[in-house]
Amino acid sequence: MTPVISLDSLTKHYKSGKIVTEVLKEITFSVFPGELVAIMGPSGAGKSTLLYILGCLARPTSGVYQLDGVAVGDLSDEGLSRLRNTKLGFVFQSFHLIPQYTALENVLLPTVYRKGGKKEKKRESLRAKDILDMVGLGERFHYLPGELSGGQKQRVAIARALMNDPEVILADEPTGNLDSKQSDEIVRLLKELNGRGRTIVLVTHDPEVGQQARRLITIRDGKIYSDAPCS
Amino acid sequence: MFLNNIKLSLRDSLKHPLFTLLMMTGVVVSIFSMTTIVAVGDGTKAEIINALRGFGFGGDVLMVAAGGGRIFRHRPSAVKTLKPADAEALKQFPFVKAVAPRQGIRRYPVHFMGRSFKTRILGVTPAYLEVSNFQVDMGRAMDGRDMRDHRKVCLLGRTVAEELFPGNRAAALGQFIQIGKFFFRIKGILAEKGQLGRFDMDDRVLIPLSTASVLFIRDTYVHAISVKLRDAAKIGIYQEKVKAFIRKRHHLTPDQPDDFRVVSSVDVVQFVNRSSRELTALLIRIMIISLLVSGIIITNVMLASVSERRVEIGIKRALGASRRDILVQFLFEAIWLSLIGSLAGVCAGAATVYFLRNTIPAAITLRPFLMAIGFGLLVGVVSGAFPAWRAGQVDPIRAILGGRS
Repeated sequence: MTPVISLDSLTKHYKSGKIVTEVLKEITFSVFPGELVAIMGPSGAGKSTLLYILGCLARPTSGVYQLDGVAVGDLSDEGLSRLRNTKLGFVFQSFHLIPQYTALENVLLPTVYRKGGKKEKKRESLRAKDILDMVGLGERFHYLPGELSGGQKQRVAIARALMNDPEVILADEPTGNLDSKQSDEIVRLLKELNGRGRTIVLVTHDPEVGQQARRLITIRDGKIYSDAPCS
Repeated sequence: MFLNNIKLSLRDSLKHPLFTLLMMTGVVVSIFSMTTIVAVGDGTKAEIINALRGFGFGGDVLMVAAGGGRIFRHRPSAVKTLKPADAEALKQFPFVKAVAPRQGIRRYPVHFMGRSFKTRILGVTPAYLEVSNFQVDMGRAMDGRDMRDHRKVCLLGRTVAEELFPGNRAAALGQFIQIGKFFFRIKGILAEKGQLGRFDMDDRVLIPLSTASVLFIRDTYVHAISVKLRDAAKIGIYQEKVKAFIRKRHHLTPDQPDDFRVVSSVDVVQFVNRSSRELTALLIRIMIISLLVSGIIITNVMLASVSERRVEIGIKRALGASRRDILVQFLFEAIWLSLIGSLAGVCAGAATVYFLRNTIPAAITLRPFLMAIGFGLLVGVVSGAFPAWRAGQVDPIRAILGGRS
């Protein structure tokens, strides 16, 4: 089986003046389709940086990153954007729904950046409604984010991440802004999606969330400290 | 995809009404003033041309005026060269229907029974009424005997009649009014002609040319000769013929300039057009400055909007928007609001002009609408370019992590 994500000796440096900070050092690992991977580590260990490199929003300083067989390093801004649009779905800690858009409009946003004719529009709208239904918001298509609870917002965000049927869902502290009940619900939803074959990589520093994954990668000081299946 | 961004730009503009309104205001005001200015300019021009026609200076009249030079300016030294004989001689041309020489005496007070009024006295021949489109409302017109006998008779313009005989103009007929040291019998009253701009066409008293030459000017030269043509179509050719003819009569050698000028209504219309073009050019310059200010406002408000919406930009980038997608969206937001603002301004301007159409001379033409669309697009593109570029440059990770350390 070919990996969806494959990293080989990935490094990331930040320069500020003459001081170079090595955030990631020689990271090598692969993620295979259907995996649920949690990346954990103390603050400042570089896990968010890693996630945004995986998300094609940042470029590594060196090393090779292949996403679904495509070497990301060679791509232009347009190419990276297309990759984000078609192969990746993002879920953020603070939900990051657009406050002026309804739940449905938020879920449809990724389709704006995809080629599609008039015929597509209707199908996309139906699909968006199906997904919202599936995450349990069938009654709230036209609610604005401000009218939804934190858990509900994160469900909309997950629905949005699913909209373009991505290869991988990348979640950055998806439960970080939620109470434990809502947090459990979101984790359950992510596991359910994984159960249906969806590949998910999530960053968290909540051990309870980490334990729910099938594989746990721990990062310390920019290096992989451990990489093991969860019991 | 490009189309999607444009649609999104329209939707997002509507979702940030405060920014949109702020940015639009300047454009609305500039285009509003432009519309009213252009409409008033066009309207004034139309009114002047219209008035000229009423004045009797229609397409079939040439005016030979004493003194060379431009249409309304002349060289004062040469004003005594035009003679009644020049007018008589012009009659020999088959294309000339009538000629009307006249002497313009400066504004003079006229008196009747303790009332007095300062008005323009003109010494004219009987042909004047026909050539200048005046009609006699009451009494009789001047005739050849009045001319030949140097009679002290006069025709009153409507305004003068109202001033001296308020409420009962008919009572004026046969009465004697005093002009300077002389008494003139009122022979008739002219029908009303109205205003030519601020110039009251009815503020005049006509006396026989011969009488004016003897009593007032004390010379026989005339100030102008109106020449009515049989056929207006070839007015340009006739104009040249008349000019050559009078030069010959005045014994002017080729190196001497004209001591008279031949003006057609075409010349006057052109003159009015040119001066209104100059005015329009000036106003357009003012408008461009005000649009520039609006553009700067748009740029600044949009920069604020971009930084306010950094998170939104970050999200869109994460969901697959390229830098170009973001740039296009913001650029079109600027274009939309500038265009919509322009159209709102032009409509408000047109509506204002429409409601004031009885108070001010104004014409609603297509021109301000086309200009509004043009300037709207221009201001949108120019003022939106930099903020749109900045929007494209927003670092998505920083924007997304904005709330976190």
